[in-house]
Amino acid sequence: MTVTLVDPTLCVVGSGAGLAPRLASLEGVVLGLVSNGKTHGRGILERVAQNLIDRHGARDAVLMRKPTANLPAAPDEVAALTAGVTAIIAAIGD
Amino acid sequence: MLDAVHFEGHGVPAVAILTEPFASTGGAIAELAGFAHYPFATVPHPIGSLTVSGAMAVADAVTPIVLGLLTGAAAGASSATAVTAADLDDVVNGLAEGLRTGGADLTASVTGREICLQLHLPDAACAECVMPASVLAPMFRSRIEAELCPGWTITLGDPREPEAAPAEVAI
Repeated sequence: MTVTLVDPTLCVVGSGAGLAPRLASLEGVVLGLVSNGKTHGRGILERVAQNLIDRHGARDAVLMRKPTANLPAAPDEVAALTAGVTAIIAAIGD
Repeated sequence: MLDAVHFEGHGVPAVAILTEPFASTGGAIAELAGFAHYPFATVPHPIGSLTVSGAMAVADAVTPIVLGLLTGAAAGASSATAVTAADLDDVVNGLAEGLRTGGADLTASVTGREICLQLHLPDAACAECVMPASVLAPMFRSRIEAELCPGWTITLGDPREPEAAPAEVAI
């Protein structure tokens, strides 16, 4: 009889490319808002973005709503949003 | 969380907002994606049962944290509820200093994003020498927001309020 032992510990599977460079300021920045559809998630994202526009010079915000919170955004959605924004805010993980 | 680190991988700075119970899970997801110790913002749980105004208060409280994480200026806590009882005690002691000279006092308790202040007036003479709650309330709010952070629901209990009227003044 063969017994197979499974290691339940986590292991890194991502590339670990490192953090993107942080911004000097939000002046003129277009924010990408990634909403996963959780209750109040979109409202919180839009309020945070409006605060950053009103008080810190961000120029605009673009909302992307994922069809489900259970899956990450599709690669083509990530690519499309990446092309049009300077920074991302994603919510809400709960 | 996974979305945020995917964007980081594309060279776009990102911030994930999670509720506090999911912080460890979020950190593990980021680590699995190769982003160990990835900084993110946390807010109180639950969010889904909040009123719209409650959710907006959470958004206001987390805004400076998001700003700090996007600009690399997040030198302080990454939690919108990182305020401890000791932090609140320091602020309340400062607020109460002037009251204590006349025999009055002020105490406070915090639950989630709500701070309940209670004015204590030992006698009628003391009650007459302390400013009314309608004057004290905005002063207290201003001081709390300046020394802690904005986004709190604050009530001030005043024993001078008539029995029939609400005993607390929402600030």
